[in-house]
Amino acid sequence: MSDVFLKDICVSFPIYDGANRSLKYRVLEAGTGGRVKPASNGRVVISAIDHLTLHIGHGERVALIGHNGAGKTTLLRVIAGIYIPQTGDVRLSGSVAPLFDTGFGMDPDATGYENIRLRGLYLGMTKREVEARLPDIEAFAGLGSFLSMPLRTYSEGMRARLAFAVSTSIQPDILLLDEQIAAGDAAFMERASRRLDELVARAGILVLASHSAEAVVRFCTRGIVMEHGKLMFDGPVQDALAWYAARRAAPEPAG
Amino acid sequence: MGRPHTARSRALGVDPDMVRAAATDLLKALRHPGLWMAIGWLDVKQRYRRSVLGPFWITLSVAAFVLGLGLVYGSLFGQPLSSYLPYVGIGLIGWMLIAALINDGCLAFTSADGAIKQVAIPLSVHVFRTVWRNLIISAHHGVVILFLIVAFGVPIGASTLLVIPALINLAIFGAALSFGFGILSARFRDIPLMITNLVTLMFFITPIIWRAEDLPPTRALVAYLNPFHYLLSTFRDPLLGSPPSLLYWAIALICTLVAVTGAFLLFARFRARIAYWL
Repeated sequence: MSDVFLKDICVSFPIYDGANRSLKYRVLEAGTGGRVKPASNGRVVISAIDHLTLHIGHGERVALIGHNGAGKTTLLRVIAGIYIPQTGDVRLSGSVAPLFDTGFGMDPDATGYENIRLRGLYLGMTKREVEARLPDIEAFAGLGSFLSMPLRTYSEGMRARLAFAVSTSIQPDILLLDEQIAAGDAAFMERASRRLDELVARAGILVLASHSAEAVVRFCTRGIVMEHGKLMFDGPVQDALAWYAARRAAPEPAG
Repeated sequence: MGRPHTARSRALGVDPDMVRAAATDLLKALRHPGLWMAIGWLDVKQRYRRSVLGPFWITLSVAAFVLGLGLVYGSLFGQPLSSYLPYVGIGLIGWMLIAALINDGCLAFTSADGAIKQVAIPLSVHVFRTVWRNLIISAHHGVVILFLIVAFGVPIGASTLLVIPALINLAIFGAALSFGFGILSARFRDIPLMITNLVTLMFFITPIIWRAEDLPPTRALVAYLNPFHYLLSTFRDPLLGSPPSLLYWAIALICTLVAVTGAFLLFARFRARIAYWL
């Protein structure tokens, strides 16, 4: 059984550069949904998640909704164990797989096969597991003999197909997806979304951060609206989207 | 597969939870060497892809360097080439490993920021990768050492085998410095620049192209207070056929112990912060 429990977590980022702190403070405050405030010791700190408590049980499909800088990606990274919050508790059961940027960690000079192995290892597979999944990855990527060529000879679309094929070959209990799970041409898109459906169906828990109402409705049942790192609304996904739309139509004064 | 990662309010100092988390991180990385070995190996391959001689450019450049230094400084210092060339060659190769471990170690975390923000693999993986990469590169220098030993008839004996523990000690020392400087560099971006300059300076004030015995007694401390002197000597002496010195070994091991302890405490204290600094 997979389970995610976050209790009263706070995440804030220190900003170390910038002699012109006050200017930076204003620009950031105006440009993003995050809160920028000078810390008491004079350091500038961006508060990305502010006393958030959240429980996600087995079988739940959760959408994180909110505009840029609302803390969606940061929250995904907290669940993934990448950011360890300053305060609060994170308790997880089940294996976690973040699927944020499918293109990371690819070596342009290495061959397709080498990149599959590399990425597989990064995703926590052993060498043997990578070999076992190789036929499936090969078949899905559909790149044929190109897999023996260096990655830099690939087109953007081929690269995305390879990255997607490897990244989705895992079977996590808790799957974390961020925005654009980009892929190439239209025919591939269709296969990609089918594969994503399967991946989601296998996972015990899905957390998806997205702007796109379409993706949210397709994958999720529960919607969480975030604003300035705070949980603003939690309920059925349609209600969450409606709440978010209404909120955007009549924004409250900043503060 | 429970995996609670507990957070706490910021407090100075290291608490037992931090130590436990840091040890878990280290052990996890050590138990699964597949990842860091593979990336480290790819790093080396990447550098020499599409070149005809490939990694043997490293060997060649070191051979040229040794020959040039040996000929010029050997005659400057009035040393017989047959003993000076192996001395400077083997010392230089040992030093190149130490210097690369330190300089590269500074970038262990900052250069891996992409991976650190995308997947939650143990942070130690990034350090072990840089250590492994430099050990592989260093292995290519072995050809030069072998050549020096054969060409100048260095006596080979049982004590030559001491080079293996010396190399292991050196690698552990280098890994510890990588952790330490890697963490400091992630937080303070001036550190790598500072360290590069310091390492260059250390090359000249460590007995590599000159011998510690040749210093006038009033300046002898330059060599004898320098930890690198001991680490390097334990590596160089067995390959020169010199008898091992218990004192040097003891000091070299203590240096590693101090570095490992310091680095581990630093890692335990700031492990959770590294992702935030990138």
